[in-house]
Amino acid sequence: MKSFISILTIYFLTAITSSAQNAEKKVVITGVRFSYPLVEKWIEAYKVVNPDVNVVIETRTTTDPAKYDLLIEAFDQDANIKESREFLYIGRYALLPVANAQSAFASEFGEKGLTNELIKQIYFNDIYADKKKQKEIKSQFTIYTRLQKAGAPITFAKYFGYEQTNIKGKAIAGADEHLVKALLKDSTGISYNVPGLLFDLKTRQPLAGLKIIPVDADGNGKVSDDERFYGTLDTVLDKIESGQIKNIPVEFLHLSIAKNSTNEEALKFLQWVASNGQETLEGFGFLKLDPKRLQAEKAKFDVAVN
Amino acid sequence: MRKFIPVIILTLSSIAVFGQEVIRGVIKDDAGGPLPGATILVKGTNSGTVADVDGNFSVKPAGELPITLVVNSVGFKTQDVEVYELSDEVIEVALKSDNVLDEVVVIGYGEIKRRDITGSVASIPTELKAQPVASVERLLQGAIPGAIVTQTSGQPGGGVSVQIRGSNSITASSDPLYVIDGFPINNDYSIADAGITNGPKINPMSSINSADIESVDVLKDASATAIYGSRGANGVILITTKKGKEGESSIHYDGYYGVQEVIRTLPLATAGEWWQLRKDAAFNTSATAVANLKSANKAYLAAAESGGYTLDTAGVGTDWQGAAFKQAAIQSHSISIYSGTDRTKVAFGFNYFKQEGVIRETGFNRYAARFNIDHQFNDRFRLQSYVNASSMDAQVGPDAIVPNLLQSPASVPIYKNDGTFLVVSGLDQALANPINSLYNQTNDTNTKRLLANISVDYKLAEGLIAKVLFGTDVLINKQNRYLPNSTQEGLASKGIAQIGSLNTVNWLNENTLTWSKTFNNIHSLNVLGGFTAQRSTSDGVTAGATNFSSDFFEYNNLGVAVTPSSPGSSYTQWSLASWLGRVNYSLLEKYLLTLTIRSDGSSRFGSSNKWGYFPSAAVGWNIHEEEFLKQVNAISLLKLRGSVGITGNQSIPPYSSLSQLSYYRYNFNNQTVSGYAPSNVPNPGLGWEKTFQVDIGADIGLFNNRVDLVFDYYYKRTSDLLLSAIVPGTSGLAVGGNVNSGQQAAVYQNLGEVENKGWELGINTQNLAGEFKWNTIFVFSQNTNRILDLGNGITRIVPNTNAPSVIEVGKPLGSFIVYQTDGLIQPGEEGSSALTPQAFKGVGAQKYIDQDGDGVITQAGDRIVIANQPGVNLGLTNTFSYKGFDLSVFFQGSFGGKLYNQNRAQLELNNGAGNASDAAKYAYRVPGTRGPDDPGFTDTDVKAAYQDPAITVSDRFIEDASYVRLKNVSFGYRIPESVLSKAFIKSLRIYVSAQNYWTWTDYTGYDPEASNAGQALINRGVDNGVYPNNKSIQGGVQLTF
Repeated sequence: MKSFISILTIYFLTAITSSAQNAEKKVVITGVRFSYPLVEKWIEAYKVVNPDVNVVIETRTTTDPAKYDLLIEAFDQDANIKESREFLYIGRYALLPVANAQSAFASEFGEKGLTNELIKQIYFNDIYADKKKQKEIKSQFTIYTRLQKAGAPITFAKYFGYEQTNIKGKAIAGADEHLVKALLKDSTGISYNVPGLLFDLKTRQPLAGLKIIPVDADGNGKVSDDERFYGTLDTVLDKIESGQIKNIPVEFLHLSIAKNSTNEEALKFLQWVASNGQETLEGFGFLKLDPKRLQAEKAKFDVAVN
Repeated sequence: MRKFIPVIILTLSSIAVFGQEVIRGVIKDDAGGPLPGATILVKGTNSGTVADVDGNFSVKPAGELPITLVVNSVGFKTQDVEVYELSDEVIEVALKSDNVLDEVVVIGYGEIKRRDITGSVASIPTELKAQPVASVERLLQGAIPGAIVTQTSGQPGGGVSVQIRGSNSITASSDPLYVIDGFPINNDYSIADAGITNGPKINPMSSINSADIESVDVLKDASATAIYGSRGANGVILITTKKGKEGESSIHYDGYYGVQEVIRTLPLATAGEWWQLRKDAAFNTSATAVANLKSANKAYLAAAESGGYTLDTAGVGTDWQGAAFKQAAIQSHSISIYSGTDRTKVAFGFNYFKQEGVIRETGFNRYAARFNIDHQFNDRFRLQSYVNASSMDAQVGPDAIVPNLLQSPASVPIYKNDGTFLVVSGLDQALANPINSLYNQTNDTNTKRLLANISVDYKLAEGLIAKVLFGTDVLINKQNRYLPNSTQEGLASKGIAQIGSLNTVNWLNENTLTWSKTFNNIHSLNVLGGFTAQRSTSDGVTAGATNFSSDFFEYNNLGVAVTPSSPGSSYTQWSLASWLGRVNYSLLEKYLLTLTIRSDGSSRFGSSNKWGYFPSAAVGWNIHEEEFLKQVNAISLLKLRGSVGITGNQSIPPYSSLSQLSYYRYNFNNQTVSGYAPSNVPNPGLGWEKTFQVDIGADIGLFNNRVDLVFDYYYKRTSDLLLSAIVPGTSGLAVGGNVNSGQQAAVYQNLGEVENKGWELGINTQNLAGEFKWNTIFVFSQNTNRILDLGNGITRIVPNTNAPSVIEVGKPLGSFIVYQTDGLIQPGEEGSSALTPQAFKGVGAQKYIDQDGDGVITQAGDRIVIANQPGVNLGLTNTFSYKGFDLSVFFQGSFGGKLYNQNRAQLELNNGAGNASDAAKYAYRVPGTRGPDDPGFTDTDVKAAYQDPAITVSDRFIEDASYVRLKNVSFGYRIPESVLSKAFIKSLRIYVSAQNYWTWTDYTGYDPEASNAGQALINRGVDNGVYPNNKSIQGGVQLTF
């Protein structure tokens, strides 16, 4: 850690002293699409205090690290990326099963909900599954999932003991928001997604046309009334934050910067988010970090500038 | 420090660079290797592309996002990818291999997943479907364990005989039932034969273009075939033609052009050798013979001089084979259009195929058109229709051509000095000059065929589907023959014209109900019930005339001939009504049960035996689904299967159970009068041949199905054989057109038993996956055939005493009965006590073993039976691919079979009348034969020359017909997409392929695969003047727009 900070410091000092001509202060952010509304909110707030810094989101540059300064992602990065970047864990997100509200699947499971076994049976290919124990699914359904490697499917599969490639169904080339689009146009569609994309962020109600499928959140093998808490976005977030919820995968959202980055403004923005980002999380359907963890994360970047 | 500045500048300046407005992706297989040649289509449009050698592709989306890409590659599951945004990220599409277990296999009246199959069903692998063949059955050779394919003639469009698990019958057909797109067709070659054209029969299956074939599935055991009841005993071959696919819209051109030539020619005596042989034969025969020959030769030479041609008595002479055989072109051009939406899928195809024969003036042309449609009106109602229309024309090489080529001596020329044909090509024999016959006689057969069916499926309730199908198969055959005055055949009659036409109309109605239901994910049930009716009527006419004043009209105007021949006409009809039922039950996908029954009522059988019942039962156990095997990752499939059942064979001519009267002319009081005589006695009890079959099999998949293994052991016992058995003369039955013909009458009876038992092994391995791919397919089968009983206490039937074929209890079908040779008669053994049935009893004559020890060689006591068991068959295919290149090498072999080489028997007569093989040089020669200084030639096994006209059928000419053959080798290259995209081409593959280019065999005839016996079972081991098989090399193009 120390070495990283010192290298960064040297970089920035060098950069500051020798690049007077570099007039525009620009920070490019890219990464997981479902975080963009949240990031935009941060940028808006940051600009108020740093009007001369241009922080922008580039949606199509995720493959080339040379083209962005900060990467916001929703899954644990590969080891080689981990080694070259420093991470700020900033919030968490949950994943909920969801169906087209018109679907037979929604009628069958909209109230009854899904247990751990049912989720595994419905969503995953498992050649070792004991077919004898499997339940009969009466309704026809089509699962929509993502083709490319991405946070939500990785987290969803990992929680239930699988990999993204084990998720059944139609894989689409698009972002998580497109899973919702795909669901809405297929009356047999089912999927999984983050609360921020399943609820209207203004009314805090579930999006029209979608039915969020309750799960066995206490792990007792059945879904009871108190586990049907999907009326508003806030009740969902409250419930998940309040305790040991089962069968709802939760994973960190993180911002990262290259260890050899020379963009001081990027690091500054990162520090700002570490200090000010928490309050906006819930508004966009994300979960806060617990205070201890938040403290540790902030500490990573405290020394870096100034 | 300054070195960091550029880093910043670079970072900032490169931000604004975006990707192009295209979707970029890469197609991979499940091993992570690139999949070159995968097609990517934008659903609902005509735009698309093909993955390049590294699996990369790029597509410009037309219109608004989202769009759906449909990704297809042979051997992999089709995958739809919905694209919602353009991104720099490369879309990685990993196609999953068709899991052999999920692969849908066509079975009778339905489809089933391979995991649920309990019977023995094999499919032609994709790698072997691409061979350029004239008819579909040839694809089975070396590809399906247990299928024995014999090309019965090299005549283009000619016959192929297929047997699945051996021959079950003696006089009824042993060929399997063919079902094309659900329509069971009659593949008796006689349906495309009006009876006029001379020579090999044209195969009615040649009407199907092999490039149109989507799949060929072969049903082998009783469980699989019982649903076809009375037609299932010989196995069933289900052929499905291509349909459009959802989201696909493409135009394909598939064409090749090649050259064929005979695999080998037979070494024959030169003119000088033959002329000498004549003299030696006369010398050995008698002094009178020598004198006669001298005067005969003198006369021939004089006749030649006056006739304007030259006899060669000392040189090489005429190469008759070289004059008749040629390098012949073969070409095929197919255009197919496929289009499909989620509701409607259509396929249209047109094919032109032209194969010249390797014998001059013979050949085969086909025009075929196909239209398939599959339309889903709504969730309940679906319509499917398959239409195949074709026109086939063949110029057939008459039966006498090859024997005449071989028998015409090299001393005789083809042409007179003025360039016109010599009519007769023998000296002592009145052989028709075969080259003249080829060029001047007409011997055509033309067939138009329409095979069409339409079916509607209606979903009555969830899982319950009613299907009604109507189909028709119409064959119109017209045959023409004209033997002009200028040929030896037509000379005596001053021209002979014959025409014939045969129209066969077959219609079919099938009505089935299918119910599928899964209970609690435990019990899966699929129940099929149905009623079908099929009828076929054939009517034919023949007419002819002789004595034409001019050859101008040929067969086109019989009225100009002086002498009309008797016209003929015929009408036959058969029909079949059937009830069928099948239950497939699966418990937890582990324990499988199939029960099948079909009840057939056939018009061909006796009044007390009209209906037959064909039940079967089969069980399967998917052991890999058991807990104790689930953890063993190496085993992805382990299934044990067992089946038992009874199937039937009804392939006998219609009306065989009825009393029949035939019309005869006979001489009465020195006048020709006519009348009727009984030709068949009624047999109201005449019924099916019944084949009882047991099959035990295992399907094994290892290492994620990279190694697939199928093993089967079977036992078949066919009883109540439909045997055309000889009845005593006291029956009063007439045969041979004359009540006094002296021939024995035969009627169909249910007599006798035949058994076949054997085992089959199919191994399919993916040796290397990834960028360099290597797959191997190995098939092996061994069958033992044995006649158990011939009824009425008979143990041996010799259908023709002058031919080597015999039907004997305890021996396989197609066995031989022959004298056994014992070298040559040596000095001291000659004379009246010499052990030979021939007239020539001198030194150097063939000597035979006196089996019964009575001191003389007789037909009754001294012939032995030699078993002919072509039981072992194998095929080995290796396919390799690397980037755009692909290579396929296919070996096929057969072991244990024997052929009676009748051509050689004829050529080794050494009688100096007909031609001789080059072995004549090595004929035994007593010292002094050619003059006082002749040392003779005695260290040989070739019998001495002698003017003995008859062949003695002996084991000397029974040869081992085992062979291994490089059946097909092809090398192709797929042009990279980057080159093609500019020309709006989706894919382009060019290839060269060669067939039959290398054969290892001890057989000395034209080809060890040959038999001129066609679909006949008894004498298929006799190679007599069959049109020789060919080897060929082609170059081809496969193009997709």
